[in-house]
Amino acid sequence: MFRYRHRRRQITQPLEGSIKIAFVGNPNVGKSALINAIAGSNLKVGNWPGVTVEKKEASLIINGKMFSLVDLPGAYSLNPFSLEEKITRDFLINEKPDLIVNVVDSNQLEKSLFLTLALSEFEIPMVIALNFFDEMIKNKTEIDIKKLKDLLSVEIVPTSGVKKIGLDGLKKAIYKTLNEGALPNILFEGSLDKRFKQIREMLSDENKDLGYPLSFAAARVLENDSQIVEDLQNKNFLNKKITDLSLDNTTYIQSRYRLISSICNSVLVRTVNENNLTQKIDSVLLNKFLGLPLFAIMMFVVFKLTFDLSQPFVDFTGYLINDYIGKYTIYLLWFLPDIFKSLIKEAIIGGVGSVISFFPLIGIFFLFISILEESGYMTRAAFLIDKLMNSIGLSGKVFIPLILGFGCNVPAIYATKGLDSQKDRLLAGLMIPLMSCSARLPVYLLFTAAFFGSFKELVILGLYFLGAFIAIILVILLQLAVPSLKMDSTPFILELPPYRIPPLKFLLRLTGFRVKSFVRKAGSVILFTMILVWSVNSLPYNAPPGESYLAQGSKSIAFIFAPAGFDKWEAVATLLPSVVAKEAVIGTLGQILEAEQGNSKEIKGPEKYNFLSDTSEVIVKFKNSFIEAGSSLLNFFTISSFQEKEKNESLMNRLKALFTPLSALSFMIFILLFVPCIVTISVFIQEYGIKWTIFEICMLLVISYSVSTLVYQTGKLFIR
Amino acid sequence: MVLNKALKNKSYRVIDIKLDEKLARRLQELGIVKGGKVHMVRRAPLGDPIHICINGQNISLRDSVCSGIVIEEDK
Repeated sequence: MFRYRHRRRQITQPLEGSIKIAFVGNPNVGKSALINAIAGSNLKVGNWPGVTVEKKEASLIINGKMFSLVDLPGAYSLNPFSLEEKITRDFLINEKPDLIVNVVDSNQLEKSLFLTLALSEFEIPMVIALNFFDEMIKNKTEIDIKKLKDLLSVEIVPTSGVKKIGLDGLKKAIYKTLNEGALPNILFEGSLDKRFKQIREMLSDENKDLGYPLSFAAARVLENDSQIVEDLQNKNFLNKKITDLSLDNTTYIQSRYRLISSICNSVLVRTVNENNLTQKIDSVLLNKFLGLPLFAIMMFVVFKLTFDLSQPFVDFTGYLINDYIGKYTIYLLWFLPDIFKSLIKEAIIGGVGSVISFFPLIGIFFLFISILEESGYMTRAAFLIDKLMNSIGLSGKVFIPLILGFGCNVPAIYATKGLDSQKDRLLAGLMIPLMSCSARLPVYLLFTAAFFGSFKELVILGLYFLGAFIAIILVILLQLAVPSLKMDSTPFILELPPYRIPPLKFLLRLTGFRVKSFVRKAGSVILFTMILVWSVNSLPYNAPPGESYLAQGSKSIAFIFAPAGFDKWEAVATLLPSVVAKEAVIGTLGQILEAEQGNSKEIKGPEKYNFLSDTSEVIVKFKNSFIEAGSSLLNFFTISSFQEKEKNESLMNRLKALFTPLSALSFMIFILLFVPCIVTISVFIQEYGIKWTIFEICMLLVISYSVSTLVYQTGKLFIR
Repeated sequence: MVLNKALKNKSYRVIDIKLDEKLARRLQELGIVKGGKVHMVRRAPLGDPIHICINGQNISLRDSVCSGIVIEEDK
C-alpha cells in the first residue's frame, strides 16, 4: 500500500528542485513516442487528477541534474475547447514549467505554428522539435531551419521519435536554452504588434500579479477573449484605455494566419506536392460503398483477435495460478488449519489468479486498440459511424468501446480513454456494463437450454438487444437529466490525421505500463471482494451450502425478488458470487442444488502431489494454449469464446423445479442488467472515480430490478 | 451557399462563419477563416459528417456545423 501511495505522489508532484519540461503539441504529432524515446524505461503512465485523460511523465537525470518531463495532452490552441486543452493551458499557467518542448509535425508546419505562436506568449524558454522529419524528407519538402530559428528565436531540432533521430540534439538544445534562459520572440503583424506592446506595457504598470504570464494576458486582451478579459476586469486590471486597444478574435486569428503563411512562405521549400498515400487509402476506407463493410470487417477482426487470441492464455493463467501454484502453496502451508488453507486458496490465490488471468486479454486488447489509434484508422471509424451515434448525442468514436463491451466490459472501459470529450468518456462508461459480455453468455445458454428449447437463440439475441436498448434509453435520459452532460458536448470536429505505421515498440511498452497500472489499481479491490465473498460463502466453515452465511442472508432477503418472480433463495444466493465473475452463477447454483439433492459436495480424495508430472502438465498446457490460439484464428468465422462448452443435464432438470420459463427469463434479464463483475467495477473506479462508480451501481440495481419485474408482471398477464 | 451544399471534389472560399463564438473560434484556429479555401472531399457513407481539406489538413465536420459556414465557389 505504501509503495503505491509513494508512486502516485511522484506522478503528481515532481521532486523539488527538478527541472520541469513540458512537451506540448497538436494531437497526432508523435509527442508520446518522442518523450518515450528520450525517457526510455523511466516513463510512467497515470491519469491527470480527477479526469480520465492519460498522463505520461518521466524523471531522468542528465549531467547530474534531475529533469521531470511531462507529456501535456494534445492541443490545437490554448483557448481551451476540450478538457485536454484546458489541462494543457492550466498546466502552463499554474505549474510554470522551466521549459517547453513544442513538438511540431514537420509535414504540417502551417497548422502547427498556430500553437507555437500561442506558446511563445507564456514567456517560457522553448525548444521546437520538428518531428516526423524523416517523413518530411521523403515527401521532398524542406524547411529552412536556420531562418525559422532566427524568426522565432528558439532552438529547432529535427527529430523522429519512432526512428530515434535527433534525441541527443534535442537534449543539447534543451540544455543550451535552459542555460541561456532566452525567451522566444512573440511575433505579431505590424499594426497588431504596436497594440500588443501598448497593452503589455499598460498591464505591466500594475505592480500586481495578474495570475497569467504578462504577454499571455496582453494577447488575450488584444483579441478580446471574453473569459480572460472578464477575469482581469474582476481583478481591476483593466481600464478603458486598455480595452480600447482590444480587437476581436476574428481579426486576431486572421492576422495570425497571415503571419503564419508569410513565415511558411519564407521557410518552406516544397519541391513536390505532399504525399498522397493517405488520400489514396481514404478513397478506399472511406468509400461510399466500401467504407462501412470494411469497417465492419475491421471491427470483427479486432474483436476476434482480442478475445479469441487471448482466451486460451486466459484459461492457461487461470489454471496455472489456481491449479498449480495454488495447489503447491497449500502443500507448503500444510501446517495451517483447513479454514486458512481454504481462505488462501480460494480467496487470495483465486483473487490474484483472476487479476493475472486478465493480463493476456488486457495486454492484447491494448495493443490492438493502440494500433488502431496510432495508425489513424480510429478517427476514420468515428467518421463512418458518426451519424448513428450522433442521434443519441454521442460522437462516432463511442461505437468502438461499446462493441468491445460485448466481449468483455473491462477492456471496453479502458477503451473510453481514447474518446475525445469527457462527456463521451463518461456516458460510454455508464453504458458499457449494459453490453452483455461473454461471461454472461454461459448463464443464458444454461437457462435457455433448460426452458426455451428451440427458441433459445432468439431469447439470447433478445437479451443482447435489450441490454443495448436500455443503454441507449439511459444515455438519452441522462443527457436530459444532467444538464452539464448536455452542455459539455464538444461539437464534433475531428482531424483525420495522415495514416502512419504505428510505432510498435513504443506501443508494446505503453501496453506494459497499462497492464501494470491495472494490477496496481484493480488488484486491491478485487482481492478484498474475493475475501468478502469467500467469507460469506464458506463460513461457518464446513457448513453445507444451505447453511452458509450467504444462504442465510439470501433466505432472509429472497422475498424482495417476489415481484420479479424469482424469490427463491437459491437464485438470490448467486447474485453476490456473480459480482466476482458472471459465470459464477452457474457454479453457485450447481453447488447449492447438488447439496439439496443430497449428493453433498463431491468428496475429494486427498490431492495427489507429483511435482514433476504437474509441472510438465503446465508446460504442455502452455504449449497447447498457443496451438489453440492459432487454431481459433484459422477458424476465422466462428467466435470460439462464444461456444457452448458443455451441457449439464442434471443441473438443467433441477432448474426446472426452481424456475418457470417466465421467472427464468426475468432472472436472465436481472443477470444481464445487474452490477457488473468486480474487475469491471475496479476499472470503473480507476477511470471515473468512486462517485460515478456508486452512481452506476445504484442505477444498475434500480434498472435490473425494475426491468425484470416489469417483464415478469407483464408476462404474467399473458400466461395464466 | 453553405458548406452542406458543397459538391464533392470542389474547392470553395469561406465568406462568413455564422456560429456561436466558441465554435467559430475553434474553426478559425483550425484554419477555416474568412477568405480561406476549403476543399470538399467527401460525405460519410451515412450522409453526415463531411470530410473537408484545409491547408493540406483533413477535417471532419458535422452537418450542423457546416450549415453555419457560408462559402462561395472558388474561381
